Amino acid sequence: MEALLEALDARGKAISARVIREMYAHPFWTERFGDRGRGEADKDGDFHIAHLREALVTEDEEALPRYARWLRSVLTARGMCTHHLADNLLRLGDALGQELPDGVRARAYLYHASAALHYDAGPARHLQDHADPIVAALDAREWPGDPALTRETHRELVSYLADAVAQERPALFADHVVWLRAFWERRGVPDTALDAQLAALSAHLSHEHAPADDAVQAIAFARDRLAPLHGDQVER
Amino acid sequence: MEVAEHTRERASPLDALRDRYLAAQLAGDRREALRLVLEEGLRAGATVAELQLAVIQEAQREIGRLWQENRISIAQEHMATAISHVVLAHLYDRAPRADTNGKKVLVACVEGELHDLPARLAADALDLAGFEVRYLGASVPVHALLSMIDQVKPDLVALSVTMAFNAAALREAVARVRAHTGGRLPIAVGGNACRGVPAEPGVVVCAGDAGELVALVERAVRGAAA
Repeated sequence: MEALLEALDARGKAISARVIREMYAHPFWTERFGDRGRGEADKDGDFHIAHLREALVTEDEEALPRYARWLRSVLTARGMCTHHLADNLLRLGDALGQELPDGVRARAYLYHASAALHYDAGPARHLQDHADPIVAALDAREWPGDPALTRETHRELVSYLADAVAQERPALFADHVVWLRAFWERRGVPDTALDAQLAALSAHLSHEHAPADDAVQAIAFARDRLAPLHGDQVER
Repeated sequence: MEVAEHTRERASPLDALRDRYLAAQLAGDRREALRLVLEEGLRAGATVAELQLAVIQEAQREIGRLWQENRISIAQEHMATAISHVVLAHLYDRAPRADTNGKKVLVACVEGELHDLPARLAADALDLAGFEVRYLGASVPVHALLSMIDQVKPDLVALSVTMAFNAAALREAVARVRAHTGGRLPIAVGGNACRGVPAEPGVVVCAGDAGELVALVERAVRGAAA
């Protein structure tokens, strides 16, 4: 343990910063959150290391989950989704596990924190538990525009939807959808593609994942937000 | 500004005063916040402790929740908290004070801890209970804390920690104070992040409010004097 703590003190923040840098290689992050967001992400990375260290020292396996759930409430209110944080914790765990002596201990704590971001039983938990088949159903369809671009956002769409349902804030999903439309438009994806995806997601949930009322309503709310941007192009 | 449903469900006068105080904070209206607490609150018969805990502290909890949910900005959070500091100072000035008990207490936030309102509440409560208090505020470096201990020669040191990642700084401060004083100086620990701190000889952990802290400090000081 001492070797792990010493290495964490010496290299933890640098490893965390590298993980953030790798995530920020995708244009989503800079376009969505800008330089200020990058600065906040780096600070959060430092906090991950500080909380991990404290959890290791006190052998409190629930300390990081408590922190992760609290941080999730802060980040989802500011335009991120649970999947972003969960993925960040897994990546950090992998990096520390590979690079630090006895790093598997750190990885176990971070993996546990990532898993703790599953919501309690309910519609949001259902979306999380069934994210893979939902994403696969969306991936299997043909979309206008760059299929690689549209497919990579499916998992995030499901995560934003779960967050909106869990927190009873449909705007969490709608705000992301409105932003995503502009992001795709800058990359040549037709502006009706996203509404088509949302319609497909809504239909899939209605048919395959009842009860899904909250999720379907959140999708409808988001599509209504998109409608003025499309004029009369969106069909219901 | 939306206020959580749970703050509207209860209908006690203090709850209503808290909500109006919160609205004044969020509007940046320092004078109205003062008027509500000092005039309406005290005139209605509320005690200083009730106003500190049921109005100001609860309003601060709601401020924290609103920031967490991104319903207010960090600037609004700072503005609201600054108003609470002013109101607490005025409340302190109006509060009846117990006879001095001849005991000195040093109150400080551990190094790195910037949330100082809980420590401020503790310092005021101890002062009004008759202790002679030296309040050092936020993020006090350990070397400075030890220097103040030498200067002030307190009967107890009270350390406040709010954020979980400052727990290591708390352990460091406790260890250094105990080493510096030969373990003879009682230490009280309080704040949101103190719940995981195991009590050890000479260290009392307070997971409750300022009133509970006063009782714990009184016992600890009496015990040390025995």
